[in-house]
Amino acid sequence: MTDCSNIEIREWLPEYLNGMPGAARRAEVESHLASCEDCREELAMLRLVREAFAPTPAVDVAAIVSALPKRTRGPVMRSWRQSQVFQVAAAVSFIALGGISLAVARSFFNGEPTVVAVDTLRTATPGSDFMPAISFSGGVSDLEDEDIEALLTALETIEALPVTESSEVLMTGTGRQGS
Amino acid sequence: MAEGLTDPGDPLDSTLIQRWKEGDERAATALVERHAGALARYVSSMGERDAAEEVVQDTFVRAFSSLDTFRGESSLRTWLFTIARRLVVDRRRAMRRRREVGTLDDVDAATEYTALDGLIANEARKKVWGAVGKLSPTQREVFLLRVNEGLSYKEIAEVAGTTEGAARVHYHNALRTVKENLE
Ligand SMILES: [Zn+2]
Repeated sequence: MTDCSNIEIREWLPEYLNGMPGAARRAEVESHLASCEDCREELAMLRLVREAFAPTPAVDVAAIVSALPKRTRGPVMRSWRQSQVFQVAAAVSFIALGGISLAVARSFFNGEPTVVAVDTLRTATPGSDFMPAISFSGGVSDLEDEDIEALLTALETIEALPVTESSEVLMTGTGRQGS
Repeated sequence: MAEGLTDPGDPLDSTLIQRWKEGDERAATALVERHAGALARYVSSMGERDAAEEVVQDTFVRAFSSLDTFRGESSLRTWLFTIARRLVVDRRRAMRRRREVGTLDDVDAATEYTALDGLIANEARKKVWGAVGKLSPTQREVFLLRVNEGLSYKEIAEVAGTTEGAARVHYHNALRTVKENLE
């Protein structure tokens, strides 16, 4: 086996074997191979080496994936919290205004385009379960995760209450939440 | 087409990384499927066949744990190979401490490859292993990264902590030795 003097082509053989170069380069290598026995022999030898190291030791892709760090922890958790804080703050402040249409809070949760309708005359039903949960001082962002979850659970119960009639469209917004 | 190649229509590694960062678990599966085989072959060719699966898993766990710091200056593939290599070297070091055997350079390649004999009884393969086993550890690593995985000299230099020029010299010396031993 002698070495071909076309160094450039020889340098491309390992990549050619692994399918790496672009179409034009492949065509160039193939055209040279058609007329060069030395390079054909060298390529055959490289292929033999590659095949000698196959089969690859088995790897269990599913097992590897399940061992990977979960993306739902860390940054995603933080953005979840920020998003929830925003939702609660929005819902609570409107309730504090008094007499929010309960459909409003719901539209915030769904992240859909929001039409905020306010019945200025009514207040949220007194004595209902969610009231103690939202009687806190300080900003919503001061709450612990558990408090926010409790608050959200309490707010869920609002949906079970009769929906008040909207009397006035106050504002519109997209209600978009970070994801 | 050779094994492990990406179809031009497949999403790029960088696209899959972004999807995974956005919470798409399937992107992680696609990345593992794309690179696990080549990593296992590399780890195995470094003489760690029995531990290949474990090393490959550790490689992905480490890589995904710090994907936020991966800026993409090198390819994901090169980065994965670099992590795998470090794990293999650490393993060797720990083993050497336990057994008080020689340095990495003293590892007898022939012994490593005889461990493979039971797996494939094929004369041609044995002959190749014998020829590759005659290379120095560095030559062998460079040669196999180039031939088995198609890594460029630049990528090999990054993985093996050497220069492009040195990688080229190692490859050509290795090629000559293997040729002579296979003739
Ligand atoms: Zn030629």
